[in-house]
Amino acid sequence: MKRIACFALVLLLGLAAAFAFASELPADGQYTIAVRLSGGSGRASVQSPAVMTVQNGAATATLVWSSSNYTYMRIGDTQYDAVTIQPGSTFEIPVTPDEEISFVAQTTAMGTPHEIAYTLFFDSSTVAPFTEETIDAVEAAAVPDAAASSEEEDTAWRSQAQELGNGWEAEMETELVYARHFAMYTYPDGYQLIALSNGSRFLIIPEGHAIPEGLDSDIVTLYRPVGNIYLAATSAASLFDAIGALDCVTLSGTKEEGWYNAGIRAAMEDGRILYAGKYSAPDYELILASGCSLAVESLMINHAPKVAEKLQEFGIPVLIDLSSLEPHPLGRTEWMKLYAALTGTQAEADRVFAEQMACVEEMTGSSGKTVVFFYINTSGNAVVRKSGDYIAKMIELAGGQYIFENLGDSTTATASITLEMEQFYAGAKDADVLIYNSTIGGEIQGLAELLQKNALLADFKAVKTGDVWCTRQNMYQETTRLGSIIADMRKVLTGGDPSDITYLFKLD
Amino acid sequence: METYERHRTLRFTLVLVAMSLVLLALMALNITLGSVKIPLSEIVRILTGGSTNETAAQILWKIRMPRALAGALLGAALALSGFLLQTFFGNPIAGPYVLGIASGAKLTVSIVLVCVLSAGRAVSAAGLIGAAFVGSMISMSFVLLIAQKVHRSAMLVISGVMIGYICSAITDFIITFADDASIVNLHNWSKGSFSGMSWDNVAVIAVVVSIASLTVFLLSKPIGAYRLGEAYAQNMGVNIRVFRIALVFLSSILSACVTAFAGPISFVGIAVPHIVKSLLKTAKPILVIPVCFIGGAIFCLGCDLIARTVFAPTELSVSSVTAIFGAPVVILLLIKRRKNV
Repeated sequence: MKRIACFALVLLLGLAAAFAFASELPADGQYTIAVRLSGGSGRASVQSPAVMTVQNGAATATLVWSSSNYTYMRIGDTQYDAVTIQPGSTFEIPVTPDEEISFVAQTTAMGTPHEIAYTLFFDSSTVAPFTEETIDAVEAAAVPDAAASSEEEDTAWRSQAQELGNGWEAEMETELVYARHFAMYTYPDGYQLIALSNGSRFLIIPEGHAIPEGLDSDIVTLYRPVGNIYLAATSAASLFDAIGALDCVTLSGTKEEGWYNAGIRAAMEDGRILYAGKYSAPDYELILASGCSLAVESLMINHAPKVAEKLQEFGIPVLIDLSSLEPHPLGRTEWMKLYAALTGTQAEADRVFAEQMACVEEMTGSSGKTVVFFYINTSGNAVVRKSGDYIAKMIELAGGQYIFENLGDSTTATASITLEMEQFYAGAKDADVLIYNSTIGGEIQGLAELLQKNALLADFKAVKTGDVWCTRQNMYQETTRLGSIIADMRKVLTGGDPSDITYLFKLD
Repeated sequence: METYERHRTLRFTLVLVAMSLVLLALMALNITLGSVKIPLSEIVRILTGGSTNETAAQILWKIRMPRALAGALLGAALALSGFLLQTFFGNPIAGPYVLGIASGAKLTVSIVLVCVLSAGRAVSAAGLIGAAFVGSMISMSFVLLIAQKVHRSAMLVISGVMIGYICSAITDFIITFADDASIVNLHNWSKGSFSGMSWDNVAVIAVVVSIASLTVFLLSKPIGAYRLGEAYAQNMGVNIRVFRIALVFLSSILSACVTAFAGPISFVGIAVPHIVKSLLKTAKPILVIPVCFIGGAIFCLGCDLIARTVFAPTELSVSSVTAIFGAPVVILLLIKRRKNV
């Protein structure tokens, strides 16, 4: 009995020591530690591994960015200034291993200083002593990545956008947390400029004011609230609905049966919104006769330039919704702020957006599960999202890991990639969770239907364990609810109650 | 013989006058009908410059008029192009696209849609029109090269079909790397439409189609001689080599113009020459060419009116409507001709 007690005591002490060692920092000295940066447009990067210095039980890391334009990092209320800008902006910041560290960093490359939100994660399992051998590796990693270039190049258009040509200076830039493809500036008397990353600019004239003189010729002027909108971008409908601005839409580019959004369906049923032909073949007569003041189009309009040019010939401005280019899912949702500026519903947009942000912020920690998001096309090939796509990002935010790493060319605008079944089988067979994308082929009702598409799927781990889900068809139109959709994904990954899940359903 | 000639001239005159009246009536209908109701009295006021309804005036001048004119001119071009190729090949089902013109245009449009747009760059409407025209001309150049080497018309048809296949194969290859948006839009383009025509478009179309049509009309005599055989035409002083190239060139220019501005439109080029020949009861080019011109315009205007008004505001593909009306007409005429034989 005594022996057993001694053995148990030794075991307990051993476990306690191991736990204490794991949760504490190593002894004073220099180490390397892997660091992962997320947030922003996804193009900026930091050197990994980073050099970590432990002194008197406190750890600091030397963080080297891929760009020299970052002037400070702010973690909580503490601001850390750059200690040098060569080879990239370098900061000494405190390290808390194995925790997501949220911060904002300021970059000056866009002309005016601009803050961008990021998250850092230092992985304690990768801590290694800083030796002569590691110096070369760290120095090699310290060279700024020319290909990644950093996001200030993407947002350089902002600096030119706010010059109206009449000498006015912007009083304020609207703070955007995730959106990278539009910017909004406020001028005296409440005039507001919306600038898009494709170069389009719209000046919103407040009620009771006139169009200012001397504006650059490319600036389109719109009177707030903008009414009689022809909405041909399906993803924007839920944004208008969420901010209570559906009344401003009178024409739709999608038929009533094509909408999943209850608000716009009801409006079309009542005749408050009329179908005016799809984006590629609009009914110009109806659009013109209804006094349309703005056409909101998706990126698809770039394939039908004749339509955009014809609308502009009638004096109808075309605003292209670039939300699908946003690298962060909530960047898409944040486009509601742009529509709110047009329709005068800013307060509602701020409230709804804050709710969606809260959905995502509540989630912490990885589920450790790998996920595939795919559908089988009519040729029998698997269509998956690229690694840098927003769906992959949503999976990551939900605590999963998108199984295809470095898939697809990030320089092209396409979101998905078609994989021959052999490649899909090799890459996705061992995924923990399969999510079937019903957007193109429609919802499938069960595993049997999935296996009819390709019997090879029966070999997949997720099929064997019954962890196969299908998206609801309304998912891609619910731009407002991306936070809730991420929350649903989280429930899928953590074994939540299927009856609480709205945008996905389990295939039995 | 003299009675026959007089009878033929009378028939030609009657058909020409009747078809001209139908064309005028269809033009009037195309301008009058649309998804927005504009009273006839208002239309008259707009046309005479006495209207104050700016929206109605814009609809009439900027939407209906250019569309109707473009539809009429492009329809005429298709019919003439079909007639030239049917004469050249001596084949009743030869159409404007038998030489791979549409496939060449689709290839270059797909390159622009997939490569330029996927790189995040925008393309203008003029860019797409230019791409389609360049594609058509590349196909035509290959056919012309082959026409210089090959003397049998049947071989030339086969060469045209093969060029079409090659272009389609390359297009399919490009589509393999395209995103869904590009595939959908390429499909939309290949269905053809007169929607969104501007006065600038109409001006270019008018110049190209007028010059080509006039040249075709001036070639009526050698075309008539060629119909009686190459040897006969040669004896009549026709330079066969130059004549063949001119025929292929004119036909290609006409169909390339249509493809560039409206996308491929099927069956007009096959059906209209048959209908016209049946109405005139002759295939004499000097009589058939002007009536074909008007017939093509009538056919396209009628089909476009149906395409844009039947399910408005949803617009049908004009090519689907032309095929629905054109195919049965050709079958009926062929059966009728067979019975007469």
